[in-house]
Order: sequence, then C-alpha cells, then structure tokens
Amino acid sequence: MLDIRRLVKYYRVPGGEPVRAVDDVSLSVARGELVALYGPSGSGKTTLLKLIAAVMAPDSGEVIVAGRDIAHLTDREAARYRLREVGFVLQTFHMIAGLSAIDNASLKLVGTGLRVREAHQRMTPLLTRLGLDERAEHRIGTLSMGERQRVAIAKALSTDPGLLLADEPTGNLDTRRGYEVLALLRELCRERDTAVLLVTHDPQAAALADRVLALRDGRLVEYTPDAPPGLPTLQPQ
Amino acid sequence: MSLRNLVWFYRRRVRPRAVQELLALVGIAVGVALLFAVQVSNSSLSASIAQLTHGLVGNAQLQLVARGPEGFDERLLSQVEDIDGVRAAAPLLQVPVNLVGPHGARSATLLAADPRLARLGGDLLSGYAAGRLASLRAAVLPAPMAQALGVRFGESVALQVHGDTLRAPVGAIVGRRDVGVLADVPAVVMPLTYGQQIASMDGRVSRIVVLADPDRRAAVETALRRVAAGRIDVLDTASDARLFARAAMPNDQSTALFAAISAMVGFLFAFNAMLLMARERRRLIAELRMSGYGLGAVLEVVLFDALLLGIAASVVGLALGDVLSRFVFHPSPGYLGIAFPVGTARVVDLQTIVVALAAGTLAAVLASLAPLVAAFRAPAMDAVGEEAGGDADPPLRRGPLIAASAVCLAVTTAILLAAPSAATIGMVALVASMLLVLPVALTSALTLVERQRRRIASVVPAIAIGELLSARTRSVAIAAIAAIAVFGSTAIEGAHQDLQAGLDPNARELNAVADLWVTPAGASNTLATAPFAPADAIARLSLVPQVKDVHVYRGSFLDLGDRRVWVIAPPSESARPFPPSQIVDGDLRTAMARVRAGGWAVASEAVAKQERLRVGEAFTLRSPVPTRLRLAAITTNFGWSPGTLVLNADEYRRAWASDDASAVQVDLAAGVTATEGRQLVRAALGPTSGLSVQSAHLRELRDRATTRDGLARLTQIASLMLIAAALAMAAAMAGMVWQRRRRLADLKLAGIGHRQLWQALLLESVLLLGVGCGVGTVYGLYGEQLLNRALNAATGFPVDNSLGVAVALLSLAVVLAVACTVAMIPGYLAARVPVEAAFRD
Repeated sequence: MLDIRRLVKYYRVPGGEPVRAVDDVSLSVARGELVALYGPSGSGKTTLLKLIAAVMAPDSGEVIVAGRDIAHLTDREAARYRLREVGFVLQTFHMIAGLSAIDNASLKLVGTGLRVREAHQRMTPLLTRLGLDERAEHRIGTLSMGERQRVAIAKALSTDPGLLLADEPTGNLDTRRGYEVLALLRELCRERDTAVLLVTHDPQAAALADRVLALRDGRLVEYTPDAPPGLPTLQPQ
Repeated sequence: MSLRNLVWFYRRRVRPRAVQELLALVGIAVGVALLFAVQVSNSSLSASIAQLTHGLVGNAQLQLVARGPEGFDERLLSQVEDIDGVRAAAPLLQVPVNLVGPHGARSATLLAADPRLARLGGDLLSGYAAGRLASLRAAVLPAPMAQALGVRFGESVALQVHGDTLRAPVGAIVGRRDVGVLADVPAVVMPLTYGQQIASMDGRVSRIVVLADPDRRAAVETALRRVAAGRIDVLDTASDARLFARAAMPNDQSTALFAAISAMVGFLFAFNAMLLMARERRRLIAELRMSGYGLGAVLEVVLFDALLLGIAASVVGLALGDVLSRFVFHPSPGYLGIAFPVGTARVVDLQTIVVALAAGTLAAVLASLAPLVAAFRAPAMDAVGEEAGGDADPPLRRGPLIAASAVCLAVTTAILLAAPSAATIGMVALVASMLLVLPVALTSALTLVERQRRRIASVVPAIAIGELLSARTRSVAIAAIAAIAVFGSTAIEGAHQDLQAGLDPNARELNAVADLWVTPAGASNTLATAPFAPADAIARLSLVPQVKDVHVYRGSFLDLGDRRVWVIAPPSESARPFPPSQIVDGDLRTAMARVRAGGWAVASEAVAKQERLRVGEAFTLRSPVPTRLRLAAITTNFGWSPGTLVLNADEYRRAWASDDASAVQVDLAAGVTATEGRQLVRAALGPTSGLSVQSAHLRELRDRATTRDGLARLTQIASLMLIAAALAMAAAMAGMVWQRRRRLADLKLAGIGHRQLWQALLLESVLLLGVGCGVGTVYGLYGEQLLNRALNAATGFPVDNSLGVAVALLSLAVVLAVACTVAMIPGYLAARVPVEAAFRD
C-alpha cells in the first residue's frame, strides 16, 4: 500500500549546514499491516509522516501510495488525497467542541459530498464497533480523553482509506487506555485491510506492531526493544 | 508574590499570545477613546464659558445688566461707585457685530470697556496701561479671529453693526498670553467711547460690573437694586454661566445621555475584547493551580495581568480619544453661539482622564474575573486540556434569561410612559434586556439552522455551526458588539432624525410670514435679535415699486431667571404671529387674534412653567419697562431650548422703550420672484448698508442648518459608534478566527480545502452578526421611541414620533457589510494556515 523509496528531506538552517531530517529512507507497509516507526524526539519521524501526508514535498525520492507517487501533488490534489486515501490519528485531537461525537467523526464523509444524514448512517456501525454507540450524540466536550481518541480513529477511518497514519496517538492517554486504543486500532485496520504506519517513541506501543522500524538522525537503523521494566508485556499477534 | 515574579509570569504568558493580547488592547482602547472624546466635547463648552466670565469680569461679584440690546445710561456708574462697600466698578458694552475681512465674514461680540475694568482683575485689559487704552481709537482682535478674517495689525476691518457698515483700524492682535482664554472668543475689543460710537450707542452700556467688599456684599446688592429701579437686572457675575448652563442643558442632557450610551458601548466593547482572551486566561490559571499556586497567588497573577493590559489599553485609548476630540468631536458652540460669546477652547480636566482610565482598567479587571471563577469551579486538568475539544460553556438556561430580559424591558416601558427624563436608566435597562435575550436568540437561530444542516451535503455549515456552538460565550460577545452597534446607531440616529423632522416645519412657518427679511448681517443673527434703526431702510424700500409692503419685526433675548428667552415680536398685522403647528395649549385662532391686538403674549412651555402661568392669566413681563400682559397660549420653544415669548411689535416697542427693529419684513408685488426682489431690495439699501436681505426660503434653510449644526453631535456619536463597532468586531472576529488556526489545520489534514474553511468562517460571521444585528435593530427601534420622549422632555423641541425603519435598516446593512468584509480578511488568512501546523503541539 505504501512504498517509500530513497526519500530525502533537508531543512535549511540560515547560516548553517542543511539538516538531513529524512536521509535516504526506504520502507513499505502492506495492506492490513501495522508498522511502528520507533525513534526518539528529533529523529525525523514526524517529518517522514508529513512527507507521506503530502504536507511537504521531499527533496528527492518517491512516496508511492496505492501505486501513485504523491510526492509532488498540487494543493487541490493533496487535499483530495488526504480526504479520501489517507486517515490521520494525532496525539492532540482538535475537534469541534460544539458538534457531537458522530458529527465530528462524519466531517470527512460530509466533505466528500454526502448529506449529513447519510454520513451519520454510514458512521453508526463504526462508532458501535468502537464502543461509542451510546455516546454518539453527545457533545465532544463531554467525552473522556479515551473516547475522544476513539472518535478520532472513527473520523480517520470514515472514508475507508487504504493508509492510516498515526502520530503518537496515545500520547495523551494513560498506559491502560493507550494500550486499549492501539489494540482496537490494529484490530480495525486488519478487518478493513488498512495499512497503518504508527509513529511512536513508546517501546510499549511499538510492541503492538507487526513490524518495528527504528529511525535515528533521519536514517532507518536496526530496532532494539528496550521496554522499561514493570510495564505489561504485550505480544504482537 | 514579588513584582519581579509577576512580571516574569506576564512575559511568559504574553510572548506566545502577543497578537491576541494586542486585539484585546485594541478593543479596550476603542471603548476608552469613545468615552473620553464624548466627555471632553461635553464639558469643554461649559468650562469655556466659566473661564470666559472670569477672564472678562475678574473678581467682580455683582453686576447691573441691561434687559435689552439698547443697554442703559452709563451715568449710573457714578451712582454705583458712590455705594458704600463698592471697591471698584466698571462699565462694559456688549454688542453683536459682523466682522468682514479679506478672507470672509465672522460673527463676533463687540466688547467695549474702559481702564476701570482692569482693576477687577480680569484678563481683558490686564496688558494695557489705562492711558494707552483710553486714547486708542482702534479695534483689538484675538489672533484666531484676525487670522480667520485675514487682517493684520495696522490694516482695517469692516464692522457691520446696527445696520451700518463701518471701518476700524486694527490697533492690536492679541493671543492667549495677553488676554488668556478670551483669545478663543469670537470678539473684537475696543475702548468704551470708541465702541459706543461704532455701535451708535453713545452714553449707553450693557452692564456695570461691581467688586464689593466681601463682608458688605448683601448691602451693596440692595443698594444696586435701588439704582436699577426695577428696569435693570441686578445679578451676580456667575449668572452668565448659569444662563449658559440652562441654555446648554438640553444639549448637555442629550449629549450626556448619548455619552452614557457610548460609555456603555465602550465598556461592553472592552469587556468583549477581554472575553476573547478568556480561554487563554483559564488555561493560565489552571496551569498555576496544577503547579500548586493558591487562590491568593493566582489572583495576584491574573489581576496584575489585567491591570497591565487595562492601563496600557486605556493610555492608548486616551491618545486615540484625544485625536477624536480634536478632529471629530471638537467643541462647537453651535446654536448657543447665537446668544452667548462662547469660545471654542478644548478643555480637558483631570476628572475626564481619570474616568476614562478607570473605565478601561475596570473593564479589563472585570473581564479577567470571569475566567478566574470558571477556572476555580472546574478541575484544573479539564482547563488544561480544553484545547483538545473541551466545552467550557455551561448549558444555557433560557427561562431565567427570558424572564430577566422581560423585567428589564418592563422597566424601560415604565420609564418611557411615566418618566422619560430618566431615559438613561431606561436605556441601560433596554440594553440589559437586549443582552439577556441575545444568547437565547443566538442559540435558537443556530438550532434552526442546525436542523437544516442535516439535509445539506456540505461540510461548510457543519463547521460553522459547530464552531459557534463550541464557544458560545465568545460568540455571544461578538454578536453583542454587533447588536449594540446597530442598537445605538438606530436609536440615536433615529431620534436625531425625528427631532430634525419636528423642527423643520417650525423653521418653515416662522419664516414664511414674509417674502423677504432684511436684518443686520451676521451668522449669529440667525434668530433676528440684533437691533438697528429701521427708518432709513423703510424709506428706501418704499421707493421700490416691486415692494408691496414693509413691516417692522422686533426681537431680542430677555433673561428671565436662569433662562435667556427668545422674544419674538412680529408686526401687529401679521397673519400668523407664531407658527400654528407649535401650539400646545390654548385656542389657535383666539390666541393669534389676541397677540395681534396687543396686551397678550404667547409663551413656551418651560417659560410658562417657570413663571407659573396658565392660559388667560396675567403677568408682569420683566422687560426694560415692566409691562403687564396676559397669556394667550402655550407653545413649544420653536427649537430655542431656554424658551420663547411672542408679543406684537408695538407692544415690544413700549416694553423695551426703543424704536429699533430687528428685521424689516418685505412683501413683494405679485409676479416678482424672491430672487428678483432680493436683488432690488439690496440695490435700494445701498452698498454701505450693514443689512442682509434673505428670502423666506433662504432663512428657512439657514434655520435648518443651524439646528442641524446643533444636533450634529448626535450623528457624530452614532457614526463613531458604528466605526468603533466595526473596529471592535474586526478585532474580535480576527481574534476568534486566529486562535483557531490549529483546529483549522487539523481540518485541512482531514482533507477539507481552504476554500471550504473560508466559506465556513464567512458563514459563521454572517450567522453571528445577522442575529446580533437583527436583535439590535428591533431594540434600536424601541430605543428610538424612548429617546424621542426623553429629548422632547429635555429640550422642549417638537419631535416627530415616527419609526426610523430606514435608519435601522441602513445601520443593519452597514454593520453587517463592514463586519463581514472585515471578517473576510482574517478568515482568508486563517483558512490558509499550512497543514503542517496540525503536527504542532
């Protein structure tokens, strides 16, 4: 689903040497696969995610999503790509507080041209699957942090994208809730055959992935799990 | 907490929020500026007349004042000086003149005095040696007047006085250093003898001012009454200020009423601007609490923050208000300049500055308390995580809001019906009612649109309505700015137009009694109150074949108590001695017949009330020759707020013991147009005449222009309110939109295009401002009715009680168009936020 070939992205520093944020990275993620991209802060994880999201263009290399290179899309093409082909779950979820959970989750669907009622009908099974059926009509402000993150997952998956990008999606949740949310995300993506690239610096989250890739100083390196003692041991399925 | 720590906290908080802080500052500054400018304008004229009186008469406490323009015999001065306890006394002649120079004509007061005036301690002659002044046969001009006329020292200036045109050399041009505040007065100063000669008033003076021993003042006053013999008024020197205060009272009251509305609007603008920062403040408080700070420390931090912003914004507001008061609200004597030598100095007192500063700071402090209360009610973590989609507004309680709004509306209605003079309270109650009902109206409107939204296949309404519902306090605050702007503008401008519509027929009826009016020239002689000897003019006009008839009209000002009453004395043969539409009590035909016959007078409501007169009752008019009259009818005040009195010209001649006229009314032969007649009459009067010839229509237009000038402040206030509202809304909308850029970036990351986001922001503006403006229009129309009643009670002017729908719609359209246009720019910029911002914390 996602195929990255020799991707390079520099940041130009005024008066200094250019910084290689992403340095000759190649990776791929298959449909239904969850790949964790593990690395400390400043390792280039988020830059890589931005390149895949067509938020910025690479200096060289290719980003192939569903067989198409999205590295140099126009603004309009990029918006359409993000609306229909890719979903996002971020650490901080900036939702519209005045709308209900189902309204927030349906925003992308309505953006594709569906009436709100139809969008709601389409979203209801997904919200039920996420355990939000009784909270669907509640204002987002009345939901817990874990529930809000599940709404964010529903929104990301609402247009049935082939690829889901998650940037530290459990950063605002406690360990138990974080695990539950990630497990649910993995399960849903497997059911829907969605490829997931999970960016994290949490080894516990990385442990849930089918594969773990490590990024350091912009380059892919060998991953060595070093989960701190005392945390529950999670076995990848 | 130490000051150093407080400053550290402030800098830490402001640095990343500089733009929002700046917007709050702009909102407060606009409110303070409006309040300050109106206050300065309102107090300047009154302060100016008090300074002027002191500059003229110095430390004198008492004065003999002539009851008419012809003055009294100056030989009374020796009798006054002989009174035990009189330390010094000085004669003064005051005559209205029209000065003509190369740059044009200016109305002025001829002030003629002799060196004895200097002994009283005033500024007028303080710079002149007694001997030098006595020998001077020239005019002394204040520098601004000389500049306006275009005359310089050594040149001559033309004076139109008593119907003649004369020339006088300019002996000196004086500034503030020489004569103090008198330099700002439209005046020409002359030695007494020369002035009397110029004004054809040899041996006559207008007043004698007296400096008495402080402990013998009462005895001196009694002795002065004996000298006055009931034909001259004996008054204290503060009476000028009192007369002016009474004349200016309706203007002051209406301006004060509108200033109160402006202050309220300014305060609400400032408060709303602070509300825009409420979320940031809540987060700061929550963070402090999370860090273990107690209530006292949090209070210190929040209040320091608010005080700093309030003071900074107030200082900026004062500077802005200063500019406004100089170039927009500059003090203008307007119609009061007809009867008082008012200066145009701008007086800024400490109280005005303190009130404006306090209002701005109070708005900042009060607004900062709201998030403080909310932050302490909610668990700290909730406030910290609010950005993640928390709903900070409690559920709306419609019932109590509607009930409270209805109570306020009932208070306004009671004031409207029973006590219109308490209009300020009524307006405050009306605004309170409007603001209470606004959240209900906004939520109801959004609920209606929300229902429709579900049928639409567009993300635009979902985003717009969701955003409006998610920050209800802020949405209501912005809608409130729009509502207040439209309300204020509709009420004030509507009332202004109703007042003008009431005065217009009066101007027509007063002037339409003759084809042409021949009066002494000068803009300040709008009411035809300056005297002249009519014999020569009548003789010349009788030789013009196109002139069918001429009649002598008389009129002047007469001080009755604290009122400078406009006395109107039409010819006995006048078909309509007073404007028929202005009668309030009495039978019109009988009253007109009685005034024509003599022995009867018609008084305005305020004069009748002061003299405790009813129709048919007899009274003694305190004219130069006290005269017994009976009241034929009661009228409005024809637009002259201190009051009016109408008697026929023959009666006036006896009561004032003067043959002088104030105007000659000319009826033209059939077929002669006013323009032709005017040219013929001008030619007949000759080039040296100091008389001006005007058609009835021209006089009507001039009267209208004068009243418009007097009421111009109301339009200025209404316009400034709209400008201030547009600025406040621009700041508020920009602030609201700008704070949301991170959320907009998230929506863009979800694939929503910037065009859709921009459309959503515009829809938000239209919904928000549409509801605000709609509610403001309805309440504005009600406010107009209240102001009409209040203005009628305060001024006694005739008011046309119509419903200013056109004004309301115009205000609505202006605010909506300006605000939406203004909202488009920050909306466009915010919608173009880079998607990358979604990845920032």
